[in-house]
Amino acid sequence: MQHVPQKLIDYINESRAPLPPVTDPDQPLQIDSLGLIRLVSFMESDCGIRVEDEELVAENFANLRSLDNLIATKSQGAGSSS
Amino acid sequence: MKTDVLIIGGGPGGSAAAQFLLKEGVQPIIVEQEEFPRFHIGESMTGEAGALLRRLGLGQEMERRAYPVKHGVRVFGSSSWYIPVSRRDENWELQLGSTWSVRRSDFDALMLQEAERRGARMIRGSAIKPLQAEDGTVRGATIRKPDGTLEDIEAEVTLDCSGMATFLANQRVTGPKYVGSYDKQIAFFAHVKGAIRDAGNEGETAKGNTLIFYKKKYHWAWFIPVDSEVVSIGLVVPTAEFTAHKQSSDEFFRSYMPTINPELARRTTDIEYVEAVHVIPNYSFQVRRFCGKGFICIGDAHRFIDPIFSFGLSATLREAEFAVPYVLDYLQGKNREKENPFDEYQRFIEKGTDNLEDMVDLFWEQPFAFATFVHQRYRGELIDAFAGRVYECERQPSPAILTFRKLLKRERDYDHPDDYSVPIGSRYHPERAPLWEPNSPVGTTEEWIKEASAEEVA
Repeated sequence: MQHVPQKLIDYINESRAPLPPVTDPDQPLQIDSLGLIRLVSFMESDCGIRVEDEELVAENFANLRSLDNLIATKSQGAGSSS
Repeated sequence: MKTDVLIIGGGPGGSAAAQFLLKEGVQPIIVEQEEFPRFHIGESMTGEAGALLRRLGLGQEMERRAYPVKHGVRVFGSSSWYIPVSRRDENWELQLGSTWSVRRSDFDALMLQEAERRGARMIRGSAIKPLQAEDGTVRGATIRKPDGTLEDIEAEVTLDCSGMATFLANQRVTGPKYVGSYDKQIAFFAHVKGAIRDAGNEGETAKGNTLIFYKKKYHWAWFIPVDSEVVSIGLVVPTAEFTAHKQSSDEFFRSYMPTINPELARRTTDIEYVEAVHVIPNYSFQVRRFCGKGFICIGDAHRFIDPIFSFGLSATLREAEFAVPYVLDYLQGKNREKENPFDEYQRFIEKGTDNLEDMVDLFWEQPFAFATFVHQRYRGELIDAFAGRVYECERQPSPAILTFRKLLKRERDYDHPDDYSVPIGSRYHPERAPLWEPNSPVGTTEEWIKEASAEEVA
């Protein structure tokens, strides 16, 4: 999960509470849709990762692996915060 | 009998068209086959529908009748959100507003009486056949009166406001009638007492608000107050879901409706049915070339997408208003030489309705994206769209609608003279597109489903 910044992982784990932290990259994030909307906000405001309208499909936020793939496609331009 | 404008159908589309024509000095004839009041579905109005009624001078009467005041739409599902009713002021600034939901039997009777009071001539009867000149120009219709006698009413312009009966489409006067995207859905609905509505007087918890509940894709319910006691509750599911249950409509509605959402279950634990459960299957369709020489189809008479966002009544009323200037031009002899004298109007309406369709489709196809747009990215644009501002003169298609199309991987091509809006439903089901072609060997959607499933078995 080299592209997902640690603070985003921390944010995800906080959002999932009281569920235990995510350990497996294929484990469903289990964040409700309002939580996902907040997650997108956090990515943009705190991690400098712009999520395009077309990327707002649930599959991109299903687990850490899909999130990692999404961020990887953004490559250098997104600004590294990890 | 002769008249300038013959209106077929005395529902809100017909009676609004009549009132707008009368404002311009044209006295139409309205033909209506049913004795009003009569039951009808489609009770929730958008902000723009409410504004239109005020333009017709009916605001005070709406208030006097104490119809539930709708301040917004609340949606409960895997994502929940609220969209307030709004209007645009003279500087195009967004302002909060309110509109109404209505008991249609009462509202439709009010609208028709008002049209008559203002000078429209009412004739009881049903249109059975259009009158047509040799070149196909519609010149009115033959009416069957309640006593069985026939009468020809000649008219310069015929407005088909016949609703889902789609009079002119069935008479093959229009282009083909295609299946829509939601033609495999079935809607059940009833009026109930004792449902728990919110208690507030404005905003998100206003007691007159429209509520939408959804369970998963294509499984949803509506909750629309129609007076101080009665709530209209609808349940919409894929037809296959209903048939798999092997229950009567009534049993299915009562047992399945509360399973849509715990919040709906909570609000309907102790309800009493004041109307039998009604059913409309396969409701989604689209008529091409719904305007032509001497005719315009309005509202459900040419298109019905899906009831989820309560656009039907609003679309019908607004189409009626938009049509009037074109009718006046035609009456004054303008555009008569054109292949389609109402082409500009037709395209204008089609584009606006396409915007609605994109919105409904995105809600089902990408609910997460839709919810994000509602909460953050396109809130203003969606507030506009939910208010029914979907037409070109209302700055549409907005960036939101254009984004919806990208997410739906859909292009809307309006460049071809006749092919500017290939029905989306037919793109999803190209094999079904010919279903409504003139002289199609398949009569109904039900027959088609039967044949198709027989083929699958074979």
